[in-house]
Amino acid sequence: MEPRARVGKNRGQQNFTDQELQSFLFAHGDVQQSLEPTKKVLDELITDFITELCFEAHRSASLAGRQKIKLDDIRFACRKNPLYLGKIEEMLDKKKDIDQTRKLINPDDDKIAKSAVKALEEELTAADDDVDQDVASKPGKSFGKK
Amino acid sequence: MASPPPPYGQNYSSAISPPYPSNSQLPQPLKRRQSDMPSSAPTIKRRKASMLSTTSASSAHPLRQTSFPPENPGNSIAYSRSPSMDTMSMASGMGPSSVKKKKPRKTKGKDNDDESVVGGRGASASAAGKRRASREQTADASDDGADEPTTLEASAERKAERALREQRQRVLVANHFDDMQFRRYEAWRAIKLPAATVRRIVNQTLSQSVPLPVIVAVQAAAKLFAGDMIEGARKVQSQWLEATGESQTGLPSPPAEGDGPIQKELRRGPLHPDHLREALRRHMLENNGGLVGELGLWQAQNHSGVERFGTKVGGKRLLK
Repeated sequence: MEPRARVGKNRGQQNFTDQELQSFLFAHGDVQQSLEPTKKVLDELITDFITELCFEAHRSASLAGRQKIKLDDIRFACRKNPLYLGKIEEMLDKKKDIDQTRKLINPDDDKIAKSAVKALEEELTAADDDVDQDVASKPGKSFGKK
Repeated sequence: MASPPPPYGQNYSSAISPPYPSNSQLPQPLKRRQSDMPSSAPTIKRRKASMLSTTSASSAHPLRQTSFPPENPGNSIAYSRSPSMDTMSMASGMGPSSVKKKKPRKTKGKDNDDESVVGGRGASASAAGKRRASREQTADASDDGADEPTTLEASAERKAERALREQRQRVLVANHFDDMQFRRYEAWRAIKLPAATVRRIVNQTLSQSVPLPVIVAVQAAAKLFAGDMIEGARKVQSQWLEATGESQTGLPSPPAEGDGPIQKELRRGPLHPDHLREALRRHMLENNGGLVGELGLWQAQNHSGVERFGTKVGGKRLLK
């Protein structure tokens, strides 16, 4: 069944918040207050992309006889685009690092410290960039946002 | 690997008898292979370089593997070297490099335009030069690394090194940013598609609940895609501005004094939805878009698209 037909319920609904879309446009070069229709179109673009990506992943999964989507299906769907592949790899590595560090901080129950560590990470992003950091002294794990 | 490579063909020409050597030779290749291992490394390199075979001299057992995959460290680990290395430098390059151009545009009517533009350009040029130099170092290091043994730890080490180097480069570049540039860079690092929304969309599309790594991957890909689209839209916008020759802000543009491109950057308005749509269209047409909009491919494969029921009039097919 065509993926767009399945989205029927959400037609016309804005999926991403106004502020996020504005930050996206600003970060990549638009003015600080983008036009309203531009944001709507961007929202729809991203939603469609996600939908089609998942659909493509689902196709290969069902060909393999699986119903559930796995990470490798997404990777396979991106196979033509090495940039995307690399970015996915990078994100997964970062996530692993963060999880490992969380375990170091609180080996008993990392769910308890989750919010505290997340807050810690939030602060680190912006300060990350402008301070001359002695990278060698860091424990070898880079905190950074996606 | 299964196809007979040219070196084996040479064997054929030299020996009239069937290529299978006499039985007495059979155990020898097996034994020799072990002692051959230390010397096989240089032979592999030579093979890679010139496709000549040195195997025909040593052992001509028909089942022996005569062609090897290119000696690439970390080949066994998925996507370890090329995609992520290129991506990381490209991803870090994408953000800052595009950010540099925006600085002149943002300070439209202000007086400190020229000096900040010059300063921004100068700094960005030097920073870009530095980054290029360090990237060359990276390339050199990777060339040296190709000869190392392909162990898991070695490639993981190199990955960590690379990550450190990339981070150092980023900090270096970020230090040279002006105010606007830095804010944009910060925004670019900080933006993320919220996991909840992404999860909702994905779950609804697939009508199943997907595990977390899938969501992470989709987030990463979608953020890249959005970035590609917006930057493409800016390119489209600049092209259209150039084509029509008018400025979107309606202000009279002063005569160009030899810095034409900088002038163009200054006179831009906000992005139009049409820019985005055009950028999307171009992205689809380009083959390296690859994914996204596979609906076309899917329809073609399923014969369920428009092409399936071609319109026919009077026995002849219209709109081929």
